[in-house]
Amino acid sequence: MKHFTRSLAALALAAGATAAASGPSFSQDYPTDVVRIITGVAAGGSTDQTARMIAQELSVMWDSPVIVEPRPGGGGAISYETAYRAPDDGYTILLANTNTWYANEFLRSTPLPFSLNDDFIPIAAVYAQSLQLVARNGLGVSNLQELLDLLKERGDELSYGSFGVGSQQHVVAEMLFMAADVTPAVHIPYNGSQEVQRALLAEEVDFGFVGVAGGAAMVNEGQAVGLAVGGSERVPAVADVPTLTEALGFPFMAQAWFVLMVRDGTPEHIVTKLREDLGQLMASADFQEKYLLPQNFEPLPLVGEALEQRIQSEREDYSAAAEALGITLE
Amino acid sequence: MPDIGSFLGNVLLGLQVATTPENLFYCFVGVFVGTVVGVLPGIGTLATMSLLLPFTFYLDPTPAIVMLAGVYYGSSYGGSTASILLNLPGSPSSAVVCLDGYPMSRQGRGGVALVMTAIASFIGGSIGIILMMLFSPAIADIGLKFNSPEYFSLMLLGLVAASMVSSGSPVKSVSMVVLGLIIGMVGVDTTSGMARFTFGFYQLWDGVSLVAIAMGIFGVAEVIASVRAIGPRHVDVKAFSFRALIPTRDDVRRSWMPALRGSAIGSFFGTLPGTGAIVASFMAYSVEKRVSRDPSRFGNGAIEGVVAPEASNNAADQTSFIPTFTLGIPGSVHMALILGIVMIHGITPGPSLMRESPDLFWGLVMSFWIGNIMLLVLNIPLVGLWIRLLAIPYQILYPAILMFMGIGIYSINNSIFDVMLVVVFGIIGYAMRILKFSAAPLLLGLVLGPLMEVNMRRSLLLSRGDFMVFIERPLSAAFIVATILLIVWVVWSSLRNASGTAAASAR
Repeated sequence: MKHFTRSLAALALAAGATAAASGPSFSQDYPTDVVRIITGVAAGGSTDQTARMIAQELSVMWDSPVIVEPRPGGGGAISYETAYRAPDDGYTILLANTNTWYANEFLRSTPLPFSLNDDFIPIAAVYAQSLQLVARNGLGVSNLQELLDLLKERGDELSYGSFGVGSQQHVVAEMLFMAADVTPAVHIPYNGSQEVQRALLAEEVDFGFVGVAGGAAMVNEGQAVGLAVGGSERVPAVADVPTLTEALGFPFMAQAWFVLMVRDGTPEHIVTKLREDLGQLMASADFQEKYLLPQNFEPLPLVGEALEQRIQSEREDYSAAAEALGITLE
Repeated sequence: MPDIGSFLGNVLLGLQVATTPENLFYCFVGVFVGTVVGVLPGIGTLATMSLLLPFTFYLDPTPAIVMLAGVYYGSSYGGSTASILLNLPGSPSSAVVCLDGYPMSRQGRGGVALVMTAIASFIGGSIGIILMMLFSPAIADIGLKFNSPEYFSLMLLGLVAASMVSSGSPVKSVSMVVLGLIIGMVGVDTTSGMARFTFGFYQLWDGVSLVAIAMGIFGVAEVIASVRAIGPRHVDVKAFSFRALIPTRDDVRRSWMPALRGSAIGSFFGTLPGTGAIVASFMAYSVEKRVSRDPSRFGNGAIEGVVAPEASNNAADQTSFIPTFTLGIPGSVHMALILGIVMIHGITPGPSLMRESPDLFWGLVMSFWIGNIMLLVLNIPLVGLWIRLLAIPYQILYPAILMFMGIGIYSINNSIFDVMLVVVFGIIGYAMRILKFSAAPLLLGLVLGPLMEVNMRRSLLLSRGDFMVFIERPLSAAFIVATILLIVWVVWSSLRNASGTAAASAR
């Protein structure tokens, strides 16, 4: 069945007129078959689109088909399980969102039967997507400090929207309340970032974190107030909006980032090749300018040790925060 | 209302953009692929759009969106074909067409139903496009007046309206609504983050796939029922003649009002993010049944029950571009994908889109309309071809259908679990058929229930538990009052009927 699916997919790819038509290359021992990139989101979203861009570039680079296989559901868990159950031959690459990873690892009351940390090898970071803290126009705040003052005064009367319980927007907002020592506003979960944006435009909620791209359009049109962005640097699309770190005076990040991983046990030479090729692709100015920058994604060409360090330090922070906040997921 | 001069200028600009050979070509590719994808049960529109996505990186934004949008609205045209001929919904929004389209087909009027749906789709699509041209910013603003309480009250009205007019036993109908509500609860609850009725399957976290349910209850149940039916099927050769495709004067007379009402309902729901074509088609069907002088015809091949939902879901497909372009907020994943393309090409979606890229906006709008004309021209001759599907013997047709369903449902999420769900719901659907439970209330509860629940709880969170929130806001209050009036009217008229003839109360 798997081979059937693979050849079907390869056929679809060829029909899509994407792969170079010169036939597979036999000069190397990897890849000689279809490589699939598993994502945890339904086809069509921005993660899916990015995965397809990577697949497209890799199939040109390798002269061999690379396909995207969306395995949505279970807050990412289904994609992890699919990648975990696949053979450790390097032909299955998982594209993981670090936030759903940490949420699955630290918020679930029943843990997954495997660990993304122990059973997978990180290959390369792909890009980071900053969040933007946005307030509705009618709230009457113009910067982060005013919002924090308002929260101190009557935080329990305010409401903020998030992507859902245990989502990054939820966890980050609660972490912000804790770090700034203010009264937490009431959390209103929505089914996705777009619903939060809409709720801000309709002035249903007072503030919330939204994706930087969607938020930028709202802020630049004067439909909402941009208070801070969550990356390490300001975002060109909303250059006037400070970073959270600048506005708070201490380091604070609100960023989702993505990492490509393979199953633990994948042969060393394949891991090395993947690290080289993917690292090179992610660092290429062409890739960044073509796909990442227009969507306001921040390039994040991290590989090897630097990548593992970032993961470990974030996991520690997240785990501490999850414990302090007491957010649990089924 | 914009001033006429600049409006005409914009239309001309749009036509100029839309009629370049390149855009016409991609428009045709899009609607053609869309039709094919729509006809094949379960082959996801979204999956197709995603597969075409890498290809669009090499195109300008206008042809890229023209093509993908063509796939999107084109699939709604094709989606009803399998529903009508084979009782096999190609997409959730065409599930409702099964209810009357398939009985029409059994009566040898499948060709008429297909022709009428193509025309209704065209009317719906055109009305949606005209609204988009004239009132985009205003409609987007109205959409923003709908907060959680309004969503809740509107869904409540819809559910009550639909469930109170049902042919057959009211107890059966209410129990189906309740079953729909329960199935709709499966999955991770948005408000609390807790998994409900998932029995330890991650696959159920995002809820039960609506496509799987629709395929199972209609398609698989149909196949099972046919296995038990003894004797060869008669194929009425007359059904394939050209004459059999022409709607009668009575069909046309019955259809034009439902097509207009359906378009209006669809246009409205299209602009409300989170509802879209599925809710629109169910609402349109319910309204037709409600206003009909003889509701018992519904479910037995009433042309109104085919025309209204089709006009409605096509109108919704078009108007769903309004919040996407004018607010930059996509109402569905399809729209999110299109927004992504807009952004990859360096264009910021939002209120400035119409101002800063008028050639893109108006070019798209006009190309949608050209696409709708192409679909009409493409679909009517195809009816003659599709109808011949019925001439294929059961023993070949039905296994083929099952295979297509299996591939289709698997392709959506790459999930074997969803394939199993189709089988389970096929068995449930067959049982419902034998016991004479109707599928419409079940699907309605399933579609509206989760929307109602999440908006009710969100409203109460925002109001800190105060129920007055539903009647303090004027729009919400209006829907609540309408719901109460409806209940009172139904109870009063049934009491009046009960005191009359026994035959009337048997309905």
